[in-house]
Amino acid sequence: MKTFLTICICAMVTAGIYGFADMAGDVKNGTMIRYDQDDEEYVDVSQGALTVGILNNNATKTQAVISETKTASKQQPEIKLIAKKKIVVKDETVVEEKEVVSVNEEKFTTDVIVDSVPKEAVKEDLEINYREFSRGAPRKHKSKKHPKE
Amino acid sequence: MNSRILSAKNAITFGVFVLFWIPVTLLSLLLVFNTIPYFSFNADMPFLETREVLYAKPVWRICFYVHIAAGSFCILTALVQFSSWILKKRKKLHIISGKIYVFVVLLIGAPTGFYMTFFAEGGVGERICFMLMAIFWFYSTLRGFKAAVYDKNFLSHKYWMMRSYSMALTAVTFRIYHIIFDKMGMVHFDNYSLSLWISVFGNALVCEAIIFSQSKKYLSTLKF
Repeated sequence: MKTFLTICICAMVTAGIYGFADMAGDVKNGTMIRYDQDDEEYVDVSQGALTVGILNNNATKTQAVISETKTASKQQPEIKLIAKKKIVVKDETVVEEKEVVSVNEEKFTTDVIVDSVPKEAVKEDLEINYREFSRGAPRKHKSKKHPKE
Repeated sequence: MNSRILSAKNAITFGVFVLFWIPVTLLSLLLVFNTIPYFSFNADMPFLETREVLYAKPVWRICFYVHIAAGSFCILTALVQFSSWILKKRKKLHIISGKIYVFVVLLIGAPTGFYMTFFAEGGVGERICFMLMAIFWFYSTLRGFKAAVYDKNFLSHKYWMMRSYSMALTAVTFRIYHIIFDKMGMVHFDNYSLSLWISVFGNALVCEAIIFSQSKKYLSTLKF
């Protein structure tokens, strides 16, 4: 019986030491679970949870990429002026090309591919006078002629 | 003794039985019943969904499943321990059931629970509360077992085991308080924290009050 009680006390002490060491490791690595409160439910918002979510769930992965992009965009210099904007249609896929000038006046070009545009919308876009993009809001071309690409 | 006093005493005993033991038994069985789905070892359970990081740890995962299994055993075996009929007529059952309870608490339930307290929900205060609960659960069970086996002091054994059971019963009372405060519209975090503290210290205080009311030698059972 004494052996049993000794084993029990050892088990309890080991659990305490191992738990403390495990927790300290988590705190050190920044993977300690943090229970944060949402309006309706608990959400595990720790970095570790995010990592596990990325591995296990594609939806979480997408969400994480979006949030990372948002964070990155916040760090980028603020866009000051759109200097040029044109839309190119390639195989019913609308490619919007923007040339922008940032705050630090570095020119760069971005391509935005819109791949979920219905065909009707693409046809309607074809009637837009793209040369007017540089002057402000696009206006529909009154003539029935399609613009030359 | 006067027959009126006797009948009043019997009525009180019956009232306590109805008001305390029947709800406790039913709620304990409900708690055990609710842990059964967890043994599908599926991570989609409500409790585990918010603990993805912990679930990824093999040690925590093993401790969790072992702890809920041990807790179920503890609650079920403890139900038969306080029956005076079993103690008088079926003493062997009391001894066997008691040994299972002690074995499960000391070797499995308390150590795994103690490890899990470091990652428990809530802040530092709640974790400390869980730790105190695990340590006191272990200590009171150890003292109760020692009092019966080594010291043959069955009064002390009874009271230490009552203290041990009061800690085991926090799993039930915590849920009762949690539901009550939730119905009162309390925010989840506050509700969780308050339910935990009340269930641990409330159970301990109620237990001490019962022991104090029963025993004239109360202080002699408290020798540390």
